[in-house]
Amino acid sequence: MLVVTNLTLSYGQKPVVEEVSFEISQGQFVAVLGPNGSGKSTLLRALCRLHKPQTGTVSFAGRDLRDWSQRELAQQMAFVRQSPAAAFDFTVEELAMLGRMPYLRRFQRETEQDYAVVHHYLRLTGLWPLRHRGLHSLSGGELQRAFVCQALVQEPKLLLLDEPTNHLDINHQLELLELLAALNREHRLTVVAVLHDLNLAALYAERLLVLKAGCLVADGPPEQVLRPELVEQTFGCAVSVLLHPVNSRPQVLLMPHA
Amino acid sequence: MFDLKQRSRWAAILITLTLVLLVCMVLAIAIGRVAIPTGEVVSVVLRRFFNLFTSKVQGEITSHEVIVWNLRLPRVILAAAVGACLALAGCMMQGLLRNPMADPYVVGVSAGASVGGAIAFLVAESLTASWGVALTPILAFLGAIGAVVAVYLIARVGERIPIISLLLSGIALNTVLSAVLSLLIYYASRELQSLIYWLMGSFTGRGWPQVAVIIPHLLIGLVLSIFLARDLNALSLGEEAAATLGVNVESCKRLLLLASTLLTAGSVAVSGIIGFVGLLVPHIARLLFGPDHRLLLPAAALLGGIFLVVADLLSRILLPNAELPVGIITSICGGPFFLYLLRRNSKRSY
Repeated sequence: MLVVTNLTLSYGQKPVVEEVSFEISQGQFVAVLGPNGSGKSTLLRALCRLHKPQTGTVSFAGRDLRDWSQRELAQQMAFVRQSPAAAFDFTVEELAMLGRMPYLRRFQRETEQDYAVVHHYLRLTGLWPLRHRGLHSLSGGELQRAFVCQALVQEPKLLLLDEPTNHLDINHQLELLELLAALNREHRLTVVAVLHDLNLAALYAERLLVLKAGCLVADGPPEQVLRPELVEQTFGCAVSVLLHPVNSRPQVLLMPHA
Repeated sequence: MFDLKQRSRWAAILITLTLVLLVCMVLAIAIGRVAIPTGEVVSVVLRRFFNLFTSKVQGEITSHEVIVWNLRLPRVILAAAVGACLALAGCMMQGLLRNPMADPYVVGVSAGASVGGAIAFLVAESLTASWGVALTPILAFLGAIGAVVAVYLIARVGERIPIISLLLSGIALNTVLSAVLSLLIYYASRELQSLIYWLMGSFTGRGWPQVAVIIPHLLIGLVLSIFLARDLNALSLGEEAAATLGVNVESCKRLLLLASTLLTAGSVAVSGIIGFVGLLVPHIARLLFGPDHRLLLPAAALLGGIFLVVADLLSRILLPNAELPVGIITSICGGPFFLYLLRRNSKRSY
């Protein structure tokens, strides 16, 4: 579905991602991991054409991203950025409805069907009781979920998320990832998420991509990738890896210096 | 269901605002040193309007008719159109810069337009000369677009335009441009008083020629605003968010800059600098009607018209034997409101 070939991304002269190649097939749940400044967010932004490649290509459904119109692309992929915010006090429902934009003609009003889609995802993200609240009155976690809801309302084939669990408490982190996992299972929604929490990534993603200084240093299922040596080399701190008692996924424990 | 409810609510709001605007305009024509009954105002306006098409002069022209048709009607139309232009421009700039403090006056676009206008003024010697009427909007537009581009380039920090840098670059630009204006005023010894009076922002002595200048500006701005309304909703989430929602951000931004600049430049060309309308009116409209630009833009335009018609009426009747420049009245209302917004926003740690 998504093919990345020899991708190099840079800000000005400084390369942040170098010569990265991988493929993501439909229905995968992929987590992108790596230390701060390793190029995760930039890579994610390049996957939805927000960052132009220096060299190399990204193609989606067999077509180079550059050949897609903005509107076509918005019907296929949605992007939830880091700490999203709105300048004006839209209601949660109005924000979610903006997710229908790629499907509406310029002067077309929202149809009942659009409202049905919006209401479906408001319920699914637990935002139904908050739908008439203004965005400026929401907590950080609620705001994050509202933007995830908007992305889902776009009904994309590919959902890209940049640290979606950032402002959430553990319960909401779990709920969000459970929701993504359910959509991934039931609707074959392809999910690519930049995550900081290695343990959450290991619990929910079937495949982990690890970036270090702009290079892809590991790519595989959690049990292959999350080995103590690799985590130590990548993040520079000693860890111990245990298996989760219920599903045997690897879980990383930090080792204090003393 | 929902759509119908929303549609009829929007229609009701816009129709109500239109009626209020018309009532205000009739009252503003009726009230003055010579009071004219509102019934006569309406009958004169209607009769003269239809005579435009038959080109027959029927009966004798009374002095009331001259006051209504030649003096007060064009002035009131001008005030309403300039109010609508400035409110639309403010609304678009706030959406484009994702910043509720943006306004053509604060940001320095009005000053840019006024420098261009002042140059035209000096070149053409007098604003009422047909040369001046034609030249002023062109040079005002060039000045305004220069100011917009400058603010955009100076104030941008990465993808965002923070309030602090927007206001600072606005202050800097306003300072530089007012120095340039002072220089122009220094050389304008012959036309000094009329230039200064024009710069203060007023509708005194304006008539049909200025109406003819502002109406095309307003129409182009209004059409563009309706065309871009939904894109503005997406843009208020950020340029990248808008792009991932399918908006063609670059062309959209260019059209918005063009429209808001055109609206500001037209207003400054016909009436000088009238401050804070573009800040005050969109804010009130957003409080009353919500942030959806598809309703907000036309509603703010109507509200801006109402605001300036009333402000201009006050400027005519507040002093017994003289007229105040209307820019003073809007600034007296707008300045404190601006400070209030700034204070409220800084409390929310922007």
